[in-house]
Amino acid sequence: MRLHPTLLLLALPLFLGAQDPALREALATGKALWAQQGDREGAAVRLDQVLAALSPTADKLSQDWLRVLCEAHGWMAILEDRVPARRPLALKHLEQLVELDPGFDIDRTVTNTRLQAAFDGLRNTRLAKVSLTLAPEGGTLEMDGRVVSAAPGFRHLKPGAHALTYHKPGFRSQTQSMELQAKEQKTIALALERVASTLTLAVCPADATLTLDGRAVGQPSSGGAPGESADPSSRDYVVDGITAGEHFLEVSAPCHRTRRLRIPPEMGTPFADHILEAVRLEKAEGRLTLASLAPGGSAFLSGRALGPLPLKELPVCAGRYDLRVDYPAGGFSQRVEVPDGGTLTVEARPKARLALLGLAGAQDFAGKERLLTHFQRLPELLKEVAIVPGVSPSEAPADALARLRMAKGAELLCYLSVTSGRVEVVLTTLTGEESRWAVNPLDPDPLAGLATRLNALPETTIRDAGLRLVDTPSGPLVLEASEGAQAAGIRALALLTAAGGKPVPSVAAFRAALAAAGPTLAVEQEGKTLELPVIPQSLELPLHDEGFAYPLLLADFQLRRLGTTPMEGGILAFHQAQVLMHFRRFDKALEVLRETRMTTTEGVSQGTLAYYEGLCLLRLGQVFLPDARQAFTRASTFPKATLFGPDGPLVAPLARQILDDIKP
Amino acid sequence: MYSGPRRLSVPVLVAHVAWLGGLQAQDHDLAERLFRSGERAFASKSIEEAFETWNQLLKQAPTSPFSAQALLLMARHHVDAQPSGEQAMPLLERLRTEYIGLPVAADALFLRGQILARRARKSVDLREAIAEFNRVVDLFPAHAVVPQAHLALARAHLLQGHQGRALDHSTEVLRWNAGTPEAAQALLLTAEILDLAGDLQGCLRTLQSLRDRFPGRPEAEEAAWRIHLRVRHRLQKPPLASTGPWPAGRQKWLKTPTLLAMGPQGELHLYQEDLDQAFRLEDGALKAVGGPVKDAKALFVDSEGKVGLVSAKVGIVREGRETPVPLGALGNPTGAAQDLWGNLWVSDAKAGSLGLFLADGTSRSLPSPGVSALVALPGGAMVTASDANRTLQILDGNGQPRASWAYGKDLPSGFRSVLALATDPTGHIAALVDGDFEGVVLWSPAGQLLRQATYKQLGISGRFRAIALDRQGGIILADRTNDVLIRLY
Repeated sequence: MRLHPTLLLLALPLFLGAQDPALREALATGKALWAQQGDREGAAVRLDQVLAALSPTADKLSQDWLRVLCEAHGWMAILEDRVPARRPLALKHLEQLVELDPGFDIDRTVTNTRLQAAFDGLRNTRLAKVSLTLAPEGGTLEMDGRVVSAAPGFRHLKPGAHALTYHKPGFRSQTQSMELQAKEQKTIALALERVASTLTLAVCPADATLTLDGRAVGQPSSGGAPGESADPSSRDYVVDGITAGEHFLEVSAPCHRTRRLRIPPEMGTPFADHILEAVRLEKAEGRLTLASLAPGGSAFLSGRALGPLPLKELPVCAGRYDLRVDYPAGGFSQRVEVPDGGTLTVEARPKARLALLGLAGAQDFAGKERLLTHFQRLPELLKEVAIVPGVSPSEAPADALARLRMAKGAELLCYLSVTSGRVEVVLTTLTGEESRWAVNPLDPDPLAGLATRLNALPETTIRDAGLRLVDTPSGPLVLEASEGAQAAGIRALALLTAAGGKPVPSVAAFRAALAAAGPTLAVEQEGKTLELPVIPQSLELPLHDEGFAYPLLLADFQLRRLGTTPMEGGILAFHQAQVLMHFRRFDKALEVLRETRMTTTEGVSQGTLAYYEGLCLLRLGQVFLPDARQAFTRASTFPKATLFGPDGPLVAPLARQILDDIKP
Repeated sequence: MYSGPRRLSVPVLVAHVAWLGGLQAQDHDLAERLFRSGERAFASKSIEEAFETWNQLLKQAPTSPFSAQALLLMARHHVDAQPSGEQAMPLLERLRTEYIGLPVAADALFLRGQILARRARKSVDLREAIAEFNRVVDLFPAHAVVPQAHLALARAHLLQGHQGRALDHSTEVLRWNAGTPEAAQALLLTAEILDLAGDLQGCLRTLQSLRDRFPGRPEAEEAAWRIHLRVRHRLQKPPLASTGPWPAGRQKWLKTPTLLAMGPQGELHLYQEDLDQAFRLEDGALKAVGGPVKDAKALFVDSEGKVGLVSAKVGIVREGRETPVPLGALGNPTGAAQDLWGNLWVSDAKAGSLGLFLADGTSRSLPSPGVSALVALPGGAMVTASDANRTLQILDGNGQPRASWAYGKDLPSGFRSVLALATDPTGHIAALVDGDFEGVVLWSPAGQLLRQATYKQLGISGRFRAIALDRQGGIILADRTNDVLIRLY
């Protein structure tokens, strides 16, 4: 079966939506069919398509599409007028046209005089006529909030209330309201007052932003379109508000060097429109070097993938970024600023990933909403953890725990819990080592303590010059000196008189000089100046310091060990074992201690490890006493190993005391 | 007709559970309100009202955690009023038996341990207290009172002579958190234990560490003079020299000073024979303490700073106590010192034993050859000098010899008798000696000779009959002939 082409054409409107570009084509084809071939039927079918598609939404059409609709009505009026029996329909089209857009005029070159007379008659009886004078010309005219042509002369308007606003850069805008009657003729004159000068300039790149005296300004020039200036990437901006006096115009764009232009006072007065030379911004680039001791890191700069670490001297636009490094375990994020023409070096390290889970359970309590608000703001306050994105606060902690454990998607979970009216914040590792802190939801900042703990990491080393000093009334006395200090000429049981070029009346003054020293410290003893090497010495961790979040420490020390040297790894492993002791996981602590080797034998060192191994074994019960004895016996063979730090008590006598105590 | 076991429908069961839950919540609220009400009354010193409210709480909600808290507060109040704890003990006992699952039980156990330790009159009596402190550590390992329990354990073990265990516990306090007030006390204790154990360097390092970490605390002040004493007497050991009459060059201002003793805060006490009176030196002025005692032969100051005198004719006369304690068979007292348990040791040159006058009012004797001088060491030991045996001896708290050394050991010439003994809080022992070597000798706590000088070497003369060690490293001598005090440095 063959379908008649007319049927196909009739069905066409079903497929054409309002404001479909094909409608413009249908209008043009309809006009051509009538004007060139005299095919009235073919033309009418296409114009009907346009009318059918646009008429239902006529009141919502843009100015362009309204014009298309009006044109279709005008042409339909011409077509209908050719058939005497359909002339009333032609009149209807003209009526609709006048109703739709009082300012629209029919194409008088193809319209006969009778129809023109009918159209003019309709406009004269149904519309008002306004004669508009605008000064100066070239501004923007708005009628009832819509931009309309600002050409001077007569224009037809619908009866009723109207508001005309005329504005132009450099001039004070003017608005006039009017109430029009049908057939009424009115003259309106809008003359704007000059209040400022304007600047017109092209900028490159096109997306540059302009600020005048720190205030965002600038709008694309109404006269200049992209592509008109010599540089296709630039466009014209008109900067308004150049009043009397000196001004500064700043042009800035991402990845470009900002330019600051001085606008001299003579451009402000007398008021005038000035055209400036195009402002081209120079590229602003820096380099980014990303290092990491831990393996497997991939970097992202404000969401853009940079690739695996390390990255050396990577050219990037100067500016601020959110740097993120994803590791197989742990994450790193930091707000960075790449300097223009310089290199930013960042040493990334995997930080514990924290998932914030919200409130466990549906209990209600006073201050719940504000506590949850504070909880959601925690990420802004935390520096030592990487917040895991995409965790829904409504997810039950148990579900999240299971999910994250499966996916190994975080090292730490934090949630709120309510038991017997007591609100607690819980921080836990995926392996269950948890800490709880009571919070008062009505406190001004109920989670301030938590944020402080989550930002606190303990000092793991202390600067040491190999001297053990004691205060005496005559000044600091050298009690003991390391081999290095002795080699430098230090004598035990003699006073120190100066350090770092200043007199040292006390041990505290010596410590201050040590803190400020570089890799060596100059000290004075018995009139001689001696140069001592300053080296970091390990410190123990307090096992129950309220200022720390121990689950965080556990995760952090595990991650810090990745990619470290045996020396650094040894002390980090020792600290990891200490945190496990905090959680009374003596078996796990023992495992870590037994895997750990420290390369030093002085201060907190290999002997200290053996001592702690013994302590863990003692805590594990009587059955491990023989093993504990072995560990303490080993500890007693390190004569220079100490507890707590380089100034702490010697391990060997302590180990011997315990051995005495636990001898069979 | 029997219709089988009744089964509650699910909605009824849910409603029942909800009702029970609501009831528990109401009980909890009531318990908290009663507790808070008592707390307010307690804070405003209306103790009777507070106790009444809390007793009501104990009746209404005996299983509530608030009842446990109320019991603890009542017990603490009783202990403050009566440190021996007769009234507090039953409340603490109840906390221990009925609320052992609650964290507040840790505080109760600790308080109970403190009372038991306070009641102890000899080292073995500390066993119960030690057991209680150990319970705190074992049952509540993460409780905030644990560092205090470790500190108490360290002190108790030290009193029992178990230095190793004492050190273990004092280092546990530091391991817990070296920034707490307990850590300051633990550092001080650790230092003293290390010194007792023969680790002088460790002791000094620890004391300095205390000064570094807690510069504003009283423990740091104490550490300063303890460092200074040890460094001067045991490391630097400069030759003894006289700085002349003391204080401030004062001459002929006394009336036959024959006895000297230092108080617990380092304040000098002396006995003037012509005045039959003991005095305390305060800001350079003498203040009479206690009543007159004729012909006193020993002067001691107890841990509370109260002065005691021992006279053959009168007996033991203590400041603030009217009735003297008769000496019994001790007819020639030569020295007296109070131990850590409050027992008074009295020596007699001619008796074959030391008299031990116990804190409970009884007395006994310890076999010992005639002792010509006696003085207490910090930590509970005693030093005796026996002219008959020509031996200096350190006795432990039970009177058992721990160390002894012969008169004149390591000196250029020997001496025949010890006229007076003195110690300082760091355990240094000083003696006035007579014989071929006539002068002053200073030993370490272990009996090692540290410093010595004859009167001739010092350039002083007189009849020196008493000696004391000050906290600035000086040695003070009392010259009964010239009625002056001479300071050596």
